[in-house]
Amino acid sequence: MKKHVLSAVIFMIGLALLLLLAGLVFMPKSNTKEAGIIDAAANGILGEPENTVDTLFLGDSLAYSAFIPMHIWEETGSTSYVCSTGEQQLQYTSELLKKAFTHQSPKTVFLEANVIYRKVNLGTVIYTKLYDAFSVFRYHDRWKDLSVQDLTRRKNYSWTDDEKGFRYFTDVRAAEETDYMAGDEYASAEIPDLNKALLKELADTCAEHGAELVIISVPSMKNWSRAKHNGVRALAEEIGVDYYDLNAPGTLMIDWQTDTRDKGDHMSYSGAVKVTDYVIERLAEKQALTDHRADPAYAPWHEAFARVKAKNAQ
Amino acid sequence: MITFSSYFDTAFLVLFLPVSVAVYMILPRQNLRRVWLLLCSLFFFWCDGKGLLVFILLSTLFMHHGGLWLGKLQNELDAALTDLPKEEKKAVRERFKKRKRLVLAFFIALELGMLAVLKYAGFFVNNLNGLMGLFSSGTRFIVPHFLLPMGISFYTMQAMSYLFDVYRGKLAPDTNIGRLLLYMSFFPNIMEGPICRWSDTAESLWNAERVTYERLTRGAQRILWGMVKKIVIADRLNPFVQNVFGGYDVMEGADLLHFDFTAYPGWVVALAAAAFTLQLYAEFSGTMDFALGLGEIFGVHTPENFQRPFFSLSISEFWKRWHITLGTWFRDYVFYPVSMSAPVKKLTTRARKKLGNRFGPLAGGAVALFAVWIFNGLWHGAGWNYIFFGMYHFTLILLGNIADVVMIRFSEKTGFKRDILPVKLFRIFRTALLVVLGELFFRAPTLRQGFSMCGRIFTQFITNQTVSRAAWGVDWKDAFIVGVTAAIMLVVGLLQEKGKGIRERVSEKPVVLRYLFWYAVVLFLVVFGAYGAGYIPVDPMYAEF
Repeated sequence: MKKHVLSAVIFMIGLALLLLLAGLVFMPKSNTKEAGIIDAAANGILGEPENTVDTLFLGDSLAYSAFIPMHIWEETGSTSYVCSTGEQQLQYTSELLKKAFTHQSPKTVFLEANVIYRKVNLGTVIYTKLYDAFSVFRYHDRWKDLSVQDLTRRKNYSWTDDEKGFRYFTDVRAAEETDYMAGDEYASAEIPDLNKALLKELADTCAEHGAELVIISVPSMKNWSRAKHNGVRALAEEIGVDYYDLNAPGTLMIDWQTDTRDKGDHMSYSGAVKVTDYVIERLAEKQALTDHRADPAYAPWHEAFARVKAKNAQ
Repeated sequence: MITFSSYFDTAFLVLFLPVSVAVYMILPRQNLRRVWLLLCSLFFFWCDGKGLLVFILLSTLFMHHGGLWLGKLQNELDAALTDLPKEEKKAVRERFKKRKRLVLAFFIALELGMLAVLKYAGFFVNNLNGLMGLFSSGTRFIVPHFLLPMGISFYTMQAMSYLFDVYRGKLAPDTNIGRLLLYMSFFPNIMEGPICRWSDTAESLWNAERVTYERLTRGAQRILWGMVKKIVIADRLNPFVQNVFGGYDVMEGADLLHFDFTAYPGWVVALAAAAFTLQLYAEFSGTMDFALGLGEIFGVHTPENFQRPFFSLSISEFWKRWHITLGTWFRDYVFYPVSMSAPVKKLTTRARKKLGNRFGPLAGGAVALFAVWIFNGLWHGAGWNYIFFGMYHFTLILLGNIADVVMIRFSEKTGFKRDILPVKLFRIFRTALLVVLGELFFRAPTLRQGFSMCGRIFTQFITNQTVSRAAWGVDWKDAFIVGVTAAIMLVVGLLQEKGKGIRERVSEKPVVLRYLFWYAVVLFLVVFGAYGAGYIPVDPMYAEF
């Protein structure tokens, strides 16, 4: 029996080593989309110089449509990055946050609340953890583009996104104004237990790194409701974090004729500017804005800003 | 909360499977291992549908009570016969036979009733409404939509086979409802079968033997092979099959445009039908490898469900090699009883007189075959395309049976040899083509679409349409890797056909070679599997039936 246990252990150790080794080969050697990195814009934070990002934004497409780091830079000189991806799930949010903390020490982390209600199952949570440990699982599909260089080159994640994770859209598609935040004052949309646990893990990670977690709901007629507001507010109180709901009547003057790019689902650029201005005010209140504009170490931000301005002006 | 969409779900593979096996291994007593297996099975079922667990419990209860009642009647009959004079025995037997039939019919109705209501009620009400519409009746019934308990078609058939066997006196009824429940709910078999028989499986399941190193490794190896089939082939083909059969969307500017199969020339539709057939085989047989491998670990005798079906020379042979446990179930509980029924026997006798001894028996067989295939079609799903699928195979088998008689005569007269390789290869290819055509109707969302797709193959095989990358859903590298894996499956199949098992061959090699071989298989699966970002795994196809 002992012999069998020993051979099984040896087999498993060998397998784990093999998978780790394969991970080294399959892992993209650069953090660009062309090199095969998944969610390149969100992973662009890995290319930012160490400890240069003051504020982090997490969430799904609502987040990358609403928070404009370059607007914050222009207005305050403070740096920020949007680590958001389409249909993001909380376990992936958590992974992106942990990755960001390996190089950065943001003071404030904003979580766009829509992810809190996105259904997560245990299988997805497990495979995200597994993917963390063995990157071959995440990047196995690169066999299609693998070259000899993947065997010889070392990892060099130095690329960063000029927009810092924000996605600029010129589209404007008006939404028919509705009182989407009306409804039962006490109704509360239930947050699944697994999602709650993941959110608490997220809060703990922020606390461990000395960052303040803030939950924020950006205006979205299609995604938000009074019941969701109540559900998130209760959870925010439970874990002791601030919650700002920009859907709440009177919080932000959103013009649904011009401030949405797709009939009330996501913000248009003008809507995003309003949301970002609101965030700047809250950050100022928290005294979490540092002006880096005169610091030569932040020269790449000036250059990126100029490029963004030029590109968006076209 | 945990839900298991299939045995290939990460939560199942990384959590449920290792925990269920590891705890089973460390439990010292047989009773504890039985209870553990039962708990695991019920938990697995509960994760799927929570309240739906009640249906499998009810089904087991009916099976248990039905079996006991039938057994009691048999005992009463035996007691009554002991002191009776010979001339009265026949009458008593007849009386008890009627009572047993009534009891059997009652419990079969209960078992089938649950299946009929949950699975077929919507289909029948829909058709009833359609029929009433034809007669301009304003009355319409509300079409019910019920959630289907996982594996209901499979465990209902297991329950019915148990009741039939007790009725026929082949089995003694079991008094232990726990044993029956474990047999019904054993989690490796619940999702897609195989459909087990009590006499094959129940004892080994209840024995809950200790896991041996040999069984553990052999079972794990079979599971791994099943995963390769499912994740490398079935899941990788999914976007292409889904696009052609279900349509695909393309963003053009701000508009989302939908395209259906008419966006493809006929040859691509034919290719999709072939791809679906391969996908179905890889998914279903891969899941069977998983189920049988897991059964092997627990020491459970589970019947094989596939025997290299694409080496079949005829459709009839194909169905002896594909979903074997379903075929044998219909053979034993539909085909034989119908064939042996008085009206069919009479028909056969008459046909023999009129058509002779060669063609005559085919008439009675055709009636029984028709019954088998109408049920087979319906078993697969509540839809006209499934009924058509059943009738398609009924027609092919019937024609095949007639052609067989003709060919035998032809061979006798001309000396034509049917068992030479070129003829065999032709027959294999022809059978595969007919199977692929049938699968087109099986996969099409409606019978109408099935006919349209089929028509496109025959009338617009080549068109000037260009198929975009988005329309293909896969690229040439995907096709290449599917081709390589299918070729490996073919080689493995050929070796198995010759009685040479891969696992046995590998186990005879030195340890280093053994390890390298299995590392290579794992790495092949990890690298070429279609999972992760951008992939949607195919749902367990037979779990819906």
